[in-house]
This record gives sequence, C-alpha cells and structure tokens, in this order.
Amino acid sequence: MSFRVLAVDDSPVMRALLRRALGVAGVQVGEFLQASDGAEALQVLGRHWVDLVLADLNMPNMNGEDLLRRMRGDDALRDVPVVVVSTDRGVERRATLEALGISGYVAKPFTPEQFRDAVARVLPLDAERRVL
Amino acid sequence: MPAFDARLLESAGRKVLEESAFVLLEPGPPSPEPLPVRVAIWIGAPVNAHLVLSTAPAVAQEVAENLLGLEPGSPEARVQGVAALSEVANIVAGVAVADALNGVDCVLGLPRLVEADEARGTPDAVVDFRSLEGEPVRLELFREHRAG
Repeated sequence: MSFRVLAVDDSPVMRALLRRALGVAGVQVGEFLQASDGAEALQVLGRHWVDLVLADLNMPNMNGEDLLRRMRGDDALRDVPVVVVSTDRGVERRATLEALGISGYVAKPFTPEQFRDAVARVLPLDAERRVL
Repeated sequence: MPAFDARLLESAGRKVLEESAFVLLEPGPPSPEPLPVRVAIWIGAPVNAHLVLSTAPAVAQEVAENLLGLEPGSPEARVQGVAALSEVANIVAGVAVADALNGVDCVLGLPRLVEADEARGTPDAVVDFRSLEGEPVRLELFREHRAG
C-alpha cells in the first residue's frame, strides 16, 4: 500500500530530507507532493487528496499554523492528518497546535526514530522496508 | 535560565552540525578574513538578536551532501549548499532558543543569506570551530541594543 504525502516547507533541502526520512521510516510513498508555504499547500490540497501533510511552521506568505486553521475550517480538508515538523519548541504554540488537532509534532533536529514514531501514528509502516 | 552566550552557541552548533549534518568540529581560531558564506536568522523576543552562521563554501557543500545523501562533490550539493546551511542555521537557532528559554514561545525569522561585508558591529557572543578538514565555521550572536 502506498501513500500520497504533502511536504510543506520553504526549504527545498528540508523537503528533500523529509522524503528521505519517510523512506527510512518504511513509508511506501506513492506520490510525494511539495509546497513551499501554506498558501501553496492549499492549492495542492485543492487538487489532490493526500494521506498525510508534513508541515513546517515558520514559512513566508502563510505559516503552518494558519495553514492548519484553514484546513480545519474546510470540510474537505478538516480530517487530513497533519504532522508538524519544526524548530519551534514553545509550549504555548504547541498547545495551540494540539488544540487545532495536529496528529503529531516532530522537533528539529529529529532522529529517524522520532520521525518514524510520529508518522506511525498516522500511516501503517512497512516493517520489511523499514531501515530502522 | 541559561544565558544566551558563546557556550550556548557552541553547544547548539555542535549538536546540529555534528549530530544532524555530520560535520565534525573542533575548536578553532577566529578566521582573519570574513567567511564567504553567511546566513543570518532573526530571533525574536525575549532574545531579540540575530544569529549568524558563516563558513567556507566547502562546508556548505558538505552539509548539503550529508543532509541529502548526495555523493561527495556532486553538482547538486554545490547548488544546494547555501540552502542546506540556511536550514542548519534555522535548527541551531531553534536548539539554542529551546535550551535558553526552556519552552517559552519565541519567534524565529526566516534564514537569509547576507553579504560577507554586511556591517553588524561586534558580536555579543561568538564561537569559532574548524571542521576536520580545517575549514572555518563561526557562530555569532548580535543582540539588538536599544537606546536608552
């Protein structure tokens, strides 16, 4: 079973790193979609159903928190799982995101195990393909 | 609360560069010349400062190779070097803030490339490293001093 994943981060290096991390975690990625900010992510989500959104918080144009609010206010997107991957470790910010219904939170820098554990709460992992 | 000082910069820089980007570091002398690749990131209240990570192009390329799993010397790593270093600066700032503020919310700006000769005055905290290949790596913190 393969999945469609959307990575939202203004850093192309981070998006590439997330693609690698999914592979290491054993996620069979059928299609890896990318967006450089929240506004672009909404455009992608308007065209594609995805199984998981991996979203940074600190981005230009529309940040990750605003993206999440927009998704939760949209009937078509409110149930799409979102795992936040960010340098932000503020307690109040984290509580706000959890109230908005994030499925997981991975603080950068992360280990492969931390990333895998967060993703595994959303997607079934392929044990045979998992590198860890 | 730990001070936002050179010791904190050293700890955060080592953690990210060595454990995430796999660039091994040792203490080094200050480079006599401004380093050519400089990335700055704003750290908001209550820190109110710019963190600047500067190094040689070879280190930026090494960071890209290691983060992206590219072959040493690959053209892609040369293209992605600055972007990779920008992400490292972002993560260093995040780690330093987390260590210093222990969960207090603090907004970071977006990393941006700055000119080597962009004047910022004297840093309030600085730490110099060398990579194992002898390339310089410098972390500086410039506080926003308010008149007063």
